[in-house]
Amino acid sequence: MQFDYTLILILLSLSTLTVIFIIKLIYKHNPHYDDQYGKEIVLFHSTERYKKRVWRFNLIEKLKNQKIKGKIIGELELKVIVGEFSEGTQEIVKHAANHKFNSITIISGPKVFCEDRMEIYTLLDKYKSVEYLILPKRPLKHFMIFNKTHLFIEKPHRHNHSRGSVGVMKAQPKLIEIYDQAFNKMLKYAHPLTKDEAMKQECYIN
Amino acid sequence: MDITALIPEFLVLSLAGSSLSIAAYSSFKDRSDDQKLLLIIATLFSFAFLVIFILSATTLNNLTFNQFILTLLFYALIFMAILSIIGFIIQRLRIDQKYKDDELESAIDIIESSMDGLNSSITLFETKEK
Repeated sequence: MQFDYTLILILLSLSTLTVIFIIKLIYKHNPHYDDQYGKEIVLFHSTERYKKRVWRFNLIEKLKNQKIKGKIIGELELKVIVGEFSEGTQEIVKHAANHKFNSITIISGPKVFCEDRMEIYTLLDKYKSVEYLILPKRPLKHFMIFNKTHLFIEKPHRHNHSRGSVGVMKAQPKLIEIYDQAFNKMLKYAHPLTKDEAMKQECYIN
Repeated sequence: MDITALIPEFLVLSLAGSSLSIAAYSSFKDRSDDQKLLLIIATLFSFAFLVIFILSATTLNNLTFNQFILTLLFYALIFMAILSIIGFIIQRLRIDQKYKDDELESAIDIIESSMDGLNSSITLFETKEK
């Protein structure tokens, strides 16, 4: 059979178009999207401590870069509700404080792990942007709101257990509003703790 | 140009492409979309292999009966193997998709259960204060 260049050309064009179509189709579909809750929903299993930390670290750095580029106007803020202000949350708070977050509010239960008290003292001493408040009773729902845009929600758990959690990047405003309102309501029942009081806080022996 | 001269190269190229794509797929851990693309590339290579494989079969001639039977057997086996690889890839794509859908569903469950109890956990403080 003779070589027909028109046929070859058509075949090549068709193949190129097919490849473009396949690539567009693959990258367009976002398996983490839900129109009711947010643009990127990621599930973290209880064993994925490192993944959870990296996700939040990356988010903080991303927000800082947006702030530097002028895409975010106003202060970067972080709101946190935890059962105990433990090691994992302290790392996130420190990272945020080091990355231009000027308003960090932590609401915690009345008890911490004994070995964390010194860390909390140091943290409150070093970072003036951090406000630490405690509730009379351990809160059941734990979450973080990153600059009124992104959420990190934990599955309810006991103080000595860790369970799965969910990260929601670019959460829907309605969802953010629900958590923001809950945070503000909790704030009414919480009282601020100074670094010296933090040293005298009730604690769990690990 | 004699096409039979090109057949071995084409066979090796398509098979190597398919294996490389699958190897690259296995090395990816997080970027799910990239994984999916690699699986699709592997399928394209596998289909290319099948096309050239069938083409090579059409160029066979002057075979004795025994040679013919053995060649036929060989072709059938290779054909089945490549089809199985394509089947595996498609199955993998489906499982990956299902896994991601399940993860999203579990994540939404966590969000919903967290939202459900939000107000009642605040009411707990209200009643305590009263």
